Amino acid sequence: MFYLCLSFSSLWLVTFIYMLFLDRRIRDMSKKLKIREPKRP
Amino acid sequence: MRFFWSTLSAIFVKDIVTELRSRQVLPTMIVLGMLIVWVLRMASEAILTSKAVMGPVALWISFLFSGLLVQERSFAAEQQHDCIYGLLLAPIDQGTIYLSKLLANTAMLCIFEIIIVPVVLVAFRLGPDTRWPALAGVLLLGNIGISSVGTLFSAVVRVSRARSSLLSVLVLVVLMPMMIPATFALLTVFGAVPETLQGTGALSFIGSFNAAVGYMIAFDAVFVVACWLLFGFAIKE
Amino acid sequence: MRRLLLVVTFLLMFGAIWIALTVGAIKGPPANPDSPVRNIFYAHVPSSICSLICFLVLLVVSIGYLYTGRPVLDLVALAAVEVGLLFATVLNATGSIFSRGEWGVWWTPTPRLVTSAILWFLYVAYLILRSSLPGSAQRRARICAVFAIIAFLDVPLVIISARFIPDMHRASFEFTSTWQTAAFVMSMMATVLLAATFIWLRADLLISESKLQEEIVL
Repeated sequence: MFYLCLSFSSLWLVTFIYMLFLDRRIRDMSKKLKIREPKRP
Repeated sequence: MRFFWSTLSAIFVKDIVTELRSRQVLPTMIVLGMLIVWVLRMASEAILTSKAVMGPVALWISFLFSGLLVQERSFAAEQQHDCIYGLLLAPIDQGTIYLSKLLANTAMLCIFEIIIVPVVLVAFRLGPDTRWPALAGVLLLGNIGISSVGTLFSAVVRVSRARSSLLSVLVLVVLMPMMIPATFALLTVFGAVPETLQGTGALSFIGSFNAAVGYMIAFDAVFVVACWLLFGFAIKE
Repeated sequence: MRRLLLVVTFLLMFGAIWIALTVGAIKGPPANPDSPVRNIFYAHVPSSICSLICFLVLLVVSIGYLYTGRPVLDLVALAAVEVGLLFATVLNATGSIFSRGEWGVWWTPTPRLVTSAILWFLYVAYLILRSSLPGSAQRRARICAVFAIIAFLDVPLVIISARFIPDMHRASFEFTSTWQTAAFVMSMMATVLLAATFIWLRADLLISESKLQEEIVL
């Protein structure tokens, strides 16, 4: 049971870090798009 | 109200007359239905399944697939020479277009049923004994359910390239919950399962023949009303 | 804000995993009490509820789209159905594993299993429909909204079958210790928050994508 627990938590940790990474990229992109938006005629 | 009826009958008669003159879909669907019944008859011979079980299965499968043929055509034919714009530009309610198409599809499927039911009864050596009204009622309810969803999705998929495959996916998946009580009802009509069923199987949660018919009526009512209301959105360009 | 949500979800889920698999562990089936298979309950029930919530969001957003015609709502609908489908897949997969451990078969046609499979197929069909409609994005959005509403008509049946119909699949569960309740509540909250975060991320991504495409067209 302990190893099951350990493997689930490490899997979850990896998922979480990947999600943080994704979050950052999506936010960067929407920020860039927002900056460009007013320039459009 | 009179305008509604005249519009309804005009489109309905147009569809039926077109079909009777061109004979495009009715012969095809009858042959397809017979082929499906034939294949299932062979399969049931091989696996020695009870014939009272395979009969309803053959009926519903042939209805579903032949129904797809007629539904796919009902708006594809309008799309072909842009006749659909004539319908859309006419000063009539779009719900009425849906209802008349639904009637036409149901009528076509009824003709199909009149031919295919004796074929199934003969092929599987079945007889509903004295339960002809029950058989007819269940078939009509299933027919309305199949046509109601199929007519709406026929309007939805008419713009797509993969028309018939998309239509079959959409119609079969939405009809799946209705097919459970429908199968149960036909099985009880042919005496393959007892009138009331208890236990934890997939079919036993319907419970009884009356409950199955109740489920089917509820599904039909909900589907017809919802499709009638949403048809305007589905057909708009 | 979203990062905070992510961190909270992370901590809740982490705690839930540890409590559920140590002090809150559920004993296995009578035939095999050491088997951990019943602990899958902590992931199974929250994901079923989450998938239903996602499909409810899809329904609301689709009706909203048909009323207002705002393109953002269509993108949110796509995000909701993708996340809902993810949770429905988790639901079916965990259910299948549980069923193998508990009853010895991977799948058996009982009402609840049948209806949850139907639910999964319905929303897969939504994605297929979405990917195979050419032409204007407006028409695609409208047609998808229509299909989403028709598909949701089948959902009440799923809920009814999961709650009120006799089945070998139990509808309720009795907790024997406070730890079990705590683990369940934590994993429930974590899963709902996770679904919300996923929808948020995906919708944000889709909105950015559509903005970029607009720029390319312009």
